[in-house]
Amino acid sequence: MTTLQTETASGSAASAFSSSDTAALERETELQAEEQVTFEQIWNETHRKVSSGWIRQNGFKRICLQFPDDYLPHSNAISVSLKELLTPEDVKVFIMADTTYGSCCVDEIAAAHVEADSVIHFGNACQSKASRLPVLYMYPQLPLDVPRMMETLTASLQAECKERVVCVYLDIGYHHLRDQLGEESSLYKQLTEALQPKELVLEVYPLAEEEADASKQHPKSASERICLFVGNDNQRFANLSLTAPALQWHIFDGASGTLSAKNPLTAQYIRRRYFYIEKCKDAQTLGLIVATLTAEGYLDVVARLQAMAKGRGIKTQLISVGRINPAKLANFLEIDCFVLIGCPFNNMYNSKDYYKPIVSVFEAEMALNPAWHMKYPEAYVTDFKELLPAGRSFLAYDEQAVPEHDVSLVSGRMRGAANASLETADDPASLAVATQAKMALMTTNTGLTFEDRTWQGLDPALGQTEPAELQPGLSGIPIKYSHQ
Amino acid sequence: MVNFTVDEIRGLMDKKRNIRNMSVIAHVDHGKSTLTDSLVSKAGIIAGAKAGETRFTDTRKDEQERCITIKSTAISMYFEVEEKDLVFITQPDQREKECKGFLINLIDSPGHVDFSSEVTAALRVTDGALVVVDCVSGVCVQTETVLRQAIAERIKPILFMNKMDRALLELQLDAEELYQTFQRIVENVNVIIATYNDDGGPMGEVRVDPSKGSVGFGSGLHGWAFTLKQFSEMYSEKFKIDVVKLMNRLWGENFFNAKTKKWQKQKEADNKRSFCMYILDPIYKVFDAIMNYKKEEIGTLLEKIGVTLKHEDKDKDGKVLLKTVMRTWLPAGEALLQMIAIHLPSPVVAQKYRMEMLYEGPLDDEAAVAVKNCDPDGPLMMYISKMVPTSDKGRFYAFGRVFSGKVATGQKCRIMGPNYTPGKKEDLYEKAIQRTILMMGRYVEAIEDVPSGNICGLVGVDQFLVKTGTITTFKDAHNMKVMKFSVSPVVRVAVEPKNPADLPKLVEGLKRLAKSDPMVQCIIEESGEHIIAGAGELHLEICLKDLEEDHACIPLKKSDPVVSYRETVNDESDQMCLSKSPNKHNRLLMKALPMPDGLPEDIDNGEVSSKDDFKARARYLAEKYDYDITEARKIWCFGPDGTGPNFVLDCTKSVQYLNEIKDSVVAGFQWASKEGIMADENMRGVRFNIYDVTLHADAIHRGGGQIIPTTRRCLYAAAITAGPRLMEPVYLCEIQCPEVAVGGIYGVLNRRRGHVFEENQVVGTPMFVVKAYLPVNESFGFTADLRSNTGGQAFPQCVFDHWQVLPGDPCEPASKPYQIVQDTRKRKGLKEGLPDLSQYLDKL
Repeated sequence: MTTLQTETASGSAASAFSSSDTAALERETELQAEEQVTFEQIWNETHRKVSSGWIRQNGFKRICLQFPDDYLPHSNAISVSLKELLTPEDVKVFIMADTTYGSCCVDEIAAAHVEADSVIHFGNACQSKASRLPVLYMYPQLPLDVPRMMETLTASLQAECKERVVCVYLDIGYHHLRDQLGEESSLYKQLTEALQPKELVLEVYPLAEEEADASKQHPKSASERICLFVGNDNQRFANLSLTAPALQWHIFDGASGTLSAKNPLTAQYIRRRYFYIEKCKDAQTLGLIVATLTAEGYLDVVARLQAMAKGRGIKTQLISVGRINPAKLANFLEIDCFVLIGCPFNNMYNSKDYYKPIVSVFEAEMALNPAWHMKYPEAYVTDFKELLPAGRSFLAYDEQAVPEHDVSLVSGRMRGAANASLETADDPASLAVATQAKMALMTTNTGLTFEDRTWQGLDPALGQTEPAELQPGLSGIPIKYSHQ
Repeated sequence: MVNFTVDEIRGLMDKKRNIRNMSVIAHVDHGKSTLTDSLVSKAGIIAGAKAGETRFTDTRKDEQERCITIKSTAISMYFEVEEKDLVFITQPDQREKECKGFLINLIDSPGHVDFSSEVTAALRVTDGALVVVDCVSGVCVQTETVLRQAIAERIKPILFMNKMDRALLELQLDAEELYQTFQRIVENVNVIIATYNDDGGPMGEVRVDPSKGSVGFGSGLHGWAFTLKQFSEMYSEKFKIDVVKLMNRLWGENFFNAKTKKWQKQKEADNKRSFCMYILDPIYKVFDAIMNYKKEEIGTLLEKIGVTLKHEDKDKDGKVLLKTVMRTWLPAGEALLQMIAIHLPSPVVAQKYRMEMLYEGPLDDEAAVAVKNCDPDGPLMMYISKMVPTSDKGRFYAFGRVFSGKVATGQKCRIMGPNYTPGKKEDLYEKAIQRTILMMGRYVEAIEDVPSGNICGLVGVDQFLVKTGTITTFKDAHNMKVMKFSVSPVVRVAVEPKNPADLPKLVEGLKRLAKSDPMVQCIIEESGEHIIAGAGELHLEICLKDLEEDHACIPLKKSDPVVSYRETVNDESDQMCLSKSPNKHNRLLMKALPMPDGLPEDIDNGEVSSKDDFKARARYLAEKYDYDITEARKIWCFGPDGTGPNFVLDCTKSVQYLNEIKDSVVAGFQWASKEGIMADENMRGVRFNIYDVTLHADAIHRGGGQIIPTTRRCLYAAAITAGPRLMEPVYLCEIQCPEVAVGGIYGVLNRRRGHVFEENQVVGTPMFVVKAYLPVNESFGFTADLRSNTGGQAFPQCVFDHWQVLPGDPCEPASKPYQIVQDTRKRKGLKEGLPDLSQYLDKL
């Protein structure tokens, strides 16, 4: 799945709390850039065997099937087929759609509604470790013309890859091609023959949790290598190419059988994101959006960000609003910058429709952790787990090292840790702002605080009004009211 | 051999009436730094023979190499004024009794227009200005600009006619011609002064007058100078006339008949102008004798003028001898010192009338009173006007002027940045001053404390200030007013490190660069570009060099210079623009229309601002721009950044809940006016009217989330339907050249979309001044182009003047604005093409 379709403010949008029925019908699904899959591709013999075996082995009784939107046409057929496979046992199968955060994440909350004991997740998955339920991931199996691919690779890439480290990544549709782990796989042998590299690494993407741990041994910093992505140019490729630096990226599109080169975007991307990192440093209030309730470690990240923000005198607010959209976030007028704590595939950062910028956890880390000062990341980090202790990109946070003062390159002003030494402003000037005439001119521009708002809601006048006395009200039906 | 000690200087700092804070200002290449050398050598800091060549105040390597001053440099010097001269200082606040020593804090400033922000910073901390004019080229563009700035800051000027050696040796002007030249320059200067100063104002009369001794003549390069005072002292005994009276006789329409020994008021056949006869003639004779090697004459002349050559100078001849003789006869340092001591105001005098221009707060609070009286025992008020790099990379001395109180090492102070508002904590720090120091050109000297009326540097303050700020000990103090620059940073380049991994170093370097220059802006743009904005090409060149070599120390890739544009509209929206909120329950109806000519500039200049009283503002708008007065009272906000030249006007009639959504509308407006619809550039000169608003009855459904994005969409729709236009910055370009070159100038300007609006001959010279408007975008390489087309005879001075609408509709794919919009969008990584109105406009 590419991204959550960012709802343009054009009117096809969902609202904060309610929406008209037409809006629901008009809502664009997350179809973009992902080819249509056939039933056969997502539910073939292997899938059946694996899933029924998994359920039997673990003795699950209530199973949720989670589908992305474009798989939904097949969902019923799959659930029926699964039930048939498990007929002797007494199992219940539920279909989940319209997930809370994104279809790549396992929606444990929705599953909990039916008290499910396991989830089978179909389609694009971010493989964030689910903390509550056992999950089985089912990827589609797309056909790939392997001999043709080898031909193309030999013809156009052999010269470039010779005597270099080459990494080949398989997109979700092609995981089945790697029949065996490591160098035993036939694909590995074929690739070695075609490319004749100094060293070949064959990986699937995204990696399953247990494999991900193993792959940490790979020297990720080797920017001398050539990378090949088997799949099309989609969000997963964007993520992968950001996180894994390489000399050159190539994409082999399995469907059309074409090869294309793409420059690694990391440097330019990070330069672009530096603006938002500055914005994040400038913020006086930071909104931490929790866009996952399943991924392991999200609470640790929240705690860590809160601690770092506090060290710089930045206030934080913890927000969970489900799937985010511009209207929802614009309700938080006082927040200067949002940090999205979500799965690695949750990529909302580049939309211009949001009133205030949204940064990833990694960017927030770069902004707030003094250990990142004067340090350039080798690669972008999309998975916030890497930033926690034991993660690959973890840098210890030292509160003492927080620079006191700094010039902002966005506003050109000084910013600094809270002026703790200063006595709080208790003079009438601060009160004057609050009692501004209602229709007077507004002068605030940045960091609108609640005190600066001209409208702060109805005045409850607490303690200033006499409590009303209880009086007997009207009773009966209107026509019989004794007095008007 | 420095002939004073730091202790002597410290001693004098308390004698506030004997302090003179002054800057040297002039057009580029009129010889400021060279002239300053004369004073520096008189103070014994450099050898007399080296004066004029050292340019001691040009401390940077590139300044020395290019022979151009880039940064203003301060130097404190101690002099003693002789008893006979002290009597000329008549005002009691201009000298301490029984004290011959004078402390002169001098700031040498750059003359090139690109660095005029340095001049502004220098003027702020000084009370007097030595205006240097090259008597060959006369009053130039920049002379006028800096003089105007000085008067506006209430800085008293004195005039110095420099490069007399050139007039005599190269131009071979005769005495009367030279007098006329001087006379004209004095007049020109006084015209400028009269234009910008009100003689009845608090500063009083500030015009310069040779017969009062406030005009000096001489040659900085050769190290000699005089005022009429020097000569009248020489002659007063001979004529038995009082020195002051004689000074009056030596200038203007005073003629002396050598035969009848009578003074006359008109030119007649047998009389001669006194100035020529008594002042120029002897100088001409000396020049003639020495340059033509008339050995015997030299001997008798030297005797007459009372110059005895030292033994080692006896063998010299020609120019070298001329220098030595003139320097001994009329030492420049002495003449300058007297001009400064007698005619420039002491801080005590100056702060009386400058205070109201300097202080933002109430003019009767404790700080204001202390500043007014230059009271060393009052609360500390110090203005930091710029940052001076130290040898320690990334650290700066905060350089400024103590207006009242005393600043001392270790003292705890409140450091207030320009965004500080009393009662709030923003931009306010309370820290101890690590060290106070005395600025001595290329050196600094530590000093215990500095009392009011002096200029000094502070260590340990730089981290809390970006460029300028106020330092005080008074809790309720307001800021000192921020400086107003005469130039704006309109030329921009994007930089990126050659090696991407150097990015953090670049960011750090940009932060340092932002501090080191009073004008430069270093910005990260949303597009990921790191932008440096400066006043002109030369300014940017220097900034880039500093960034690369001193601040970031990494190799950089630089883009071609680009200009930033503004977005405006040229008509009223052709339809009422309606946008619905995401939940469809709120509707906004707006229109956009252009502001009348002059209003955006008024907003820029603060004539119309968010701080005005709304009634006064409405009256002003109604009177000057025919705005409906009731509507004009309901301006909701200015933007972008709360102060920009666009506003939202509430034209609604009794709408429910309107006050509740105001904050959201304002937020949406700030957003939209900062990122315009066409090219994501700031908007300019657009007025948005809100005509009607329909809101959901339930407060939760008309919150910020619904209104902010909707306001933005509605504003965009209004802008699209009102005929969007682009505005580009335009330079006012003044070019000085001989007549033959004028044709070439027209050719170059025409090719670059410039147009000439004024062409004048400089009276009494063969030079012409051509004034033209030139789009900044076309100005890159203009100087070089002009030089090659005029045989190197034309020198342009470009200053940002105004914004001008680019002809052509940016929605028309063949037009130039369209191309610019597309290029800008591409550079910023936005979707190319035109904005689609249907995305912003909704149907009822």
